[in-house]
Amino acid sequence: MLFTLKWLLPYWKRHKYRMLAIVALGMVSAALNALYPYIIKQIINGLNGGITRELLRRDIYLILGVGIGGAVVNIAAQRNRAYMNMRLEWEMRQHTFEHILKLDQSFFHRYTTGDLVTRLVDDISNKISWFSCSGVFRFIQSVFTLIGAVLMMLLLNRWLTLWVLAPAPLLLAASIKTGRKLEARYDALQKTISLIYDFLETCFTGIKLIKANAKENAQGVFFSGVADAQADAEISVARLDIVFSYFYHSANFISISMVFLAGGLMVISGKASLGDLIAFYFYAGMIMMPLMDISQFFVSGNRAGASIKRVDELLQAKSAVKKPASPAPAPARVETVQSHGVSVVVGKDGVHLLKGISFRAKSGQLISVVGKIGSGKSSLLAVLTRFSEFSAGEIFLNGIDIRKFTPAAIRERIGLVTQDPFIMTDTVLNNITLGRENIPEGAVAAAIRVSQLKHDISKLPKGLETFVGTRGFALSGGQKQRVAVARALLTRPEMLLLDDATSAMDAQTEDNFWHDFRKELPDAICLIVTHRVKTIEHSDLILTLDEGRLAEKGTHAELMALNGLYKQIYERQKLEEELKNR
Amino acid sequence: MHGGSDAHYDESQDQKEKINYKATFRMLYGLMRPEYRGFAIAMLWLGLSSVLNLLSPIIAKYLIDNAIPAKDYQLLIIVVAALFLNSLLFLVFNYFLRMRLVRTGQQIMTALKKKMHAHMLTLDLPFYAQYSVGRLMARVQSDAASLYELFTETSITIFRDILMFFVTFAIMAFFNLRLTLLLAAVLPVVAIVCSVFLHKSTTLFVTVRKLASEISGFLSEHVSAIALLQAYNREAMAAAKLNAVNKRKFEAELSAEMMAIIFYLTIIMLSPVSIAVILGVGGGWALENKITIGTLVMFILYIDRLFEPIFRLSEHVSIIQRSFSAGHRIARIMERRPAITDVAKPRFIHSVRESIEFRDVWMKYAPDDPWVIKGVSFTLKKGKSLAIVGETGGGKTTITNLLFKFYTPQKGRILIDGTDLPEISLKSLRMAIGLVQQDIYLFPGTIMQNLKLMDDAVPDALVHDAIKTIGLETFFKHHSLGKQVVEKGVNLSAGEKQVVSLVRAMVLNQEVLALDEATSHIDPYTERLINTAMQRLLTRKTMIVIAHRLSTIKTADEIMLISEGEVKERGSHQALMAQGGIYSKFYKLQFGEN
Repeated sequence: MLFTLKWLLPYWKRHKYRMLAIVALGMVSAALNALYPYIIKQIINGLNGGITRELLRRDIYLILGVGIGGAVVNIAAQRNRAYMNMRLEWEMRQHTFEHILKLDQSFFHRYTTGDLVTRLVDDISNKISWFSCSGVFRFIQSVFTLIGAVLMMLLLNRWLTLWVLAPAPLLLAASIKTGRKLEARYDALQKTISLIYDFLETCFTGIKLIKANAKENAQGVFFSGVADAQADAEISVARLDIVFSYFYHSANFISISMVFLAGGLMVISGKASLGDLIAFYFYAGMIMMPLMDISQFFVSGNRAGASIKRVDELLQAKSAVKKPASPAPAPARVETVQSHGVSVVVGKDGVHLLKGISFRAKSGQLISVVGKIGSGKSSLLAVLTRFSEFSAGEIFLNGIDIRKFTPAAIRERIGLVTQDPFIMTDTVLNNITLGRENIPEGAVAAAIRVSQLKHDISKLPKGLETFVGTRGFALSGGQKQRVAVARALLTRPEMLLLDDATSAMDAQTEDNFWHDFRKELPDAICLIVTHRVKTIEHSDLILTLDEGRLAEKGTHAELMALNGLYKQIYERQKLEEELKNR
Repeated sequence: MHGGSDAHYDESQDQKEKINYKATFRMLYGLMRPEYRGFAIAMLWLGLSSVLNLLSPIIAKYLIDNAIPAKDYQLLIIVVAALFLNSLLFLVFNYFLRMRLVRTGQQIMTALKKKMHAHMLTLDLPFYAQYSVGRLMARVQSDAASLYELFTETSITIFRDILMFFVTFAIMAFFNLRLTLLLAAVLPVVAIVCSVFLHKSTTLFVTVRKLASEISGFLSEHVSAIALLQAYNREAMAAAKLNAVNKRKFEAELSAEMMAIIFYLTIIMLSPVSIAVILGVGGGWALENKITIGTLVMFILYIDRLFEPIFRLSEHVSIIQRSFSAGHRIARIMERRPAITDVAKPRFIHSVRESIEFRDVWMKYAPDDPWVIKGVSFTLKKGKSLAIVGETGGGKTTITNLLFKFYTPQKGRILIDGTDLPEISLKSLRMAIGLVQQDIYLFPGTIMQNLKLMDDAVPDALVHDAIKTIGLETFFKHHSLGKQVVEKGVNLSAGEKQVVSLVRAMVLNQEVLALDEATSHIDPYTERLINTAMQRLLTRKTMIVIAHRLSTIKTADEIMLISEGEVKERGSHQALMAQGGIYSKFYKLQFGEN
């Protein structure tokens, strides 16, 4: 609980005036609420004992003033809390998202997108938001209300107060016990629900298996079982839930009966007035609700705390990619890239993604990376883009340690196209520019021309302004790839990294692409993962990776002569292309 | 978390549709009707609890007007006891009412869920291609849950609230008509405020919900795209965009809040205003002894109850709206029918007695698509095995899709023992031939249950026999069949998962099996296990194997190489190797023989 409050404190501090106002409004509301029954008492007693009409009118204005004032102040407090809930929800989400944006690849291997979105949306909106202000400050107001009511009661009639308060501890204890039981039943219910989701997911993804083997009925029977189990759990939760809600709203009937009994006896014996009795009726109604709020504060606090921990976990994550304290100015242009014994180790058991990779590339060269799935090709690109940190070795740009530059400065010089290019739900143009402004004239046109997109765009209904649908739904696989290539070329990168980014191009298109590319950016260093034999053959350098090792390095002719892994991969590739092109 | 963000996303996609209220209402009514007894009993409890609820202010009035002035201790105790009992009984009856509604609502909802699930299972593969798994799950779970609220709380509470509102006024009028009429003057104010609020707030709440799902959508897209954003230094832009959506949601919520403030403030102020009227005007009459103080107190007690239902109004409206859109989505699925159904008098088969034959079969998935398979012909005799190899997307899986009647080919015939496939009853066909996929589908249950595909009708002995036949006794000595599968198999090793799907093949107990090999990479140990098991399967069953690893199918009676929908080579392993075609090259490459 302390952790939760400490975590929320900086957020409250940022809005300290409004937060103070909320506390003040809570106090005023509690005071007015406590006053209200007292005025009713005055009136009732007056009516019983011959009040003048003037005095009655005065009291009526008073009750109107206090009643309306109390309502207004209470609503002001309540709405300000709601305002803060929404506001803090916004800030927490923004803050967390901006933090995530800075993290490296290993973080995104640890958390799936679904998990992150759940934390950013569900945890923040549904679990933390309400508690972050309402939960805490309603509790504070409840304490004020309780104090106010008890003080007024003590002032009016000490013995009657005792009668009103007598059942409260018992009820509170019973409610806490019920609440705990209810919590356990909620957990059991949640389990039956996740079981259903697990089952349905397999059932629907494996639908072919089920239908082909005519197991629909067996599936139906099993589903009936789990659905019935959920219904039973829901019913058992409802049973306690109803009882639990009674503690909030209805349990004061015991106190009220006490008031009528003890109060009635006191009125008869002249120890209290009828007005006292009526006032105590109202006070009795002001005890249980705040008490329940106070006890529930700890329950909801624990629940919100669990979600806060989940969000905080993200905020505590640090990028493994080291940023220099005083970054070196980025070079005017990247002329050489040199890797020296670079290794990447991940996990506790120290799996090597890359093992001692060394090579050198300079302006205008084409370097091809080949290897089987999982041999470390993509890891190599990730290291060069500073998506992940390397654990041993060195990388130099123009002879300067890459770690002396900020990752942003390096990425400014790089154009990267990943294996499965990400297309945003936006227009073609925005997918190429990614919202950049101040693009030099003709840059978009050049990028489109080189990436061989020109023809496709002329066929789209609104050209560059065509909306591509959810994640590029309206584009073909090849078009998506070429949009991603155009995006990479837009900033005229000095280093182009393509991860199997031309796989959907046919041979002719790819030829045209390389031709246009070299005309446009003759000096760029190209480091590409590819399966296209023709492209590989023409490379200045080929890196053959095998389980993270640089197995073979050289030109096509050199590697063929080795008669090793490269030759095997090359021939298989050639055969596959033959198969495809017949 | 299951489907949280998915459900949001889902909602935004479906919102564009116009809800057919009439048809949806008919469906909802149809669901409620069989449970009329439950609702009738609930009505009984509702009546009883309402009477008790209305009674207590009258008892309080009696206490103040009669028991106390009479200074009758005994009467006082009796009246207070009555009040206590009255409140207690109200809570008890109210509990019965709500439990009855919960039970009835659960009954309806669970029946609906079962019906929906069973209905979905009758639908064809194109249906599953159209709806994502997330959306299907949302239909069965979340949409049914939205309806539950309608069946339990909402429908009957609205009825009670309306009833109570009028009865309370009637009782007050009975005790003092003039004061009641005076109080009734506030009713038009209440009505106007309510209608304006409901009108404005529903659109506002829809906007808020839309923006909430927009945030989910934005986040799931941009979190997935973080590598891209980082590579292109666009982090600041993404942050600014999120801030803009966040801000819009905040502002929409704020205006919805403003509406709520005006509404609640009006309603909340009605209470002190009414009390002021009662005490001010009524108090004046009390001074003239035209009304008793007890009656005034009774009026005050009633007033508080009167305004309570109005608070719930907006909640009710939003539940009704949500239920109707959920109901509409459910109705849309329930009205779908499978495209492939049996002919009027289908032939029933028990097993394949002679052969399966494809005769010049052509198939494409949509009229504008290219052919997926072009003129494929083969005959598989009983007891023999056929392996189909070739590149991914070459049409291998389409052949099994056609054999199981998931789709109908445009040209050509498929015959089982000489009978055309369309003539054969779908169910008997799928009982006679089994399909095993090595892509892993694990259900939440024990390994044993998973081996039976959750079919408890399959005896355990069959599973043990299958394990023995396939030669995996030693494996299952170390891996208990009673082991519970957690979260789609995170607690199983890759080997265990593969073995489960293979043993499934044997447990299916069909004479003819189609086996779709896993495309995924497997470790050498598992590969050896699978190979042994496969060899045993091949000798015992009539099999069609869609192969990705050539090692497993060397002993198949016939191997068919399919590329771009056409059969390019066919024959036994030895024959194909001798032929020196594509197959032999592939084989050599895969095994590194030069």
